[in-house]
Amino acid sequence: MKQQVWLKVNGADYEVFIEPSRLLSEVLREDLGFTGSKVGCEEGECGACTVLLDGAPVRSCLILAVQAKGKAITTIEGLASEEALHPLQQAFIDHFAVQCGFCTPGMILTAKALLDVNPNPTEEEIRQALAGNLCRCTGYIKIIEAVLAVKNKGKATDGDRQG
Amino acid sequence: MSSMKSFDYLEPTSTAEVCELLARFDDSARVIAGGTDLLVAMKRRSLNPLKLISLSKVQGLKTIEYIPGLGLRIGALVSISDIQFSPIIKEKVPVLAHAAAKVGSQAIRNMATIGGNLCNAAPSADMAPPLLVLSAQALCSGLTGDRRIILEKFFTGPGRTSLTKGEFLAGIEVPETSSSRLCSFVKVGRTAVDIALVNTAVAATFEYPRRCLTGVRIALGAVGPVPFRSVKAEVLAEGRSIAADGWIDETGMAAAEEAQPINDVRASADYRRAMVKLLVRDAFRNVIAQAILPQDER
Repeated sequence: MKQQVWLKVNGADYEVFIEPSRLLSEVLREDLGFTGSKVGCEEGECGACTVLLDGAPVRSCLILAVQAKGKAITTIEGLASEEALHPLQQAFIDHFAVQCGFCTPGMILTAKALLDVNPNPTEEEIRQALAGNLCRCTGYIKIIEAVLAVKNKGKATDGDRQG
Repeated sequence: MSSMKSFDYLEPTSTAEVCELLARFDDSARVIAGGTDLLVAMKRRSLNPLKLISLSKVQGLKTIEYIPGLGLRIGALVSISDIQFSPIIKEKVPVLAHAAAKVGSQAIRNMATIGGNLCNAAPSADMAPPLLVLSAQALCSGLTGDRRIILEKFFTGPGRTSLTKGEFLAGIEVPETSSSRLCSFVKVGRTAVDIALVNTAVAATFEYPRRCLTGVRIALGAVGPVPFRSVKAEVLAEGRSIAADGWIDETGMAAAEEAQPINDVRASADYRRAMVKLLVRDAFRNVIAQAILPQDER
């Protein structure tokens, strides 16, 4: 039985009329057009579907959209401002941390969540934080370098959007 | 992976309502907490509940309380990441925070709950071994009231618990322990975020000046149909001196013999058996390293 659900995504409120069995990943991508979050393994292992829920990384493929009511959802689309990319997005480009790009939204959101609570992580802490995001292309080294570059610049929270 | 079959999503607001719904719908209903195990099973269609009963609107399931003289009471809906970072848990029973930090990845930990980890009842459940060695009790709420089950009796088989019709797990109670009660949790997986190939916990009281370990408890997971205490190994380690260490290998071997590992896609039974011995050894070494001796005896 479909129900009306309000979702707050990147600071804005959206109303959808959905079956409770709809996953957050599907509703974000198909109903609301936020196709930045990808669907990979569909069982929470690969991290491609990672979004932030109240600032914490979660697997949108393992969350029912109805479970996300009343929480602030951040997708990759919510990071850049009108003027500039988020420092993490820019660093990923500058450090060649993007190849096919499939893991990238999840990687960046997870890294953002790390830097939001720990602006000065060690390389080991960065590796631990990103342990749940798989990349089949890059071998991870450039990704780690990009996050280290942002940390070292100390501008981790510039350009943040609300929500 | 196919999409999930349709279901109704119910949001009761009281314990009584949850029990009533569970009793009414019985096998066609499942409780949903974080959903990180349940939804995987539903996507694979190994579980097809017609009703999902969310606990998110029931009061009192999301707190961690320390009650002096009694111990810690942890609500079933407390997330694994909340346990990982909880100051009171890090102070009173840090081994639970260590175990929580090893459950899946951080993104899973942010949604997964301690209640879900225990009720999913995988033999490899990471929260089970430390709770077993700490003599934790499951707080169950049912139609006729609440009851406690010692965690050792909670797991009845892979994916099965002793919850009865209309009953759900409301929380976990960890009895008060003294500061000389030392614990360690060790897990091995193929990757940093894997399901355990083997996990183990050890708890022991460090007696000074005898300098030995008493009240030894050893729990093993992922090497049997349920997480269990390795009672024969406990006997071998009981009363042993922290100065000698030959008994540690013996204890590990006894635990490995008591284990009943299987071959599966993650590891062979032989590998698991070998890992039991090493993990038990490591857990005892961690416990001994925590034993505090007076300054002049170090």
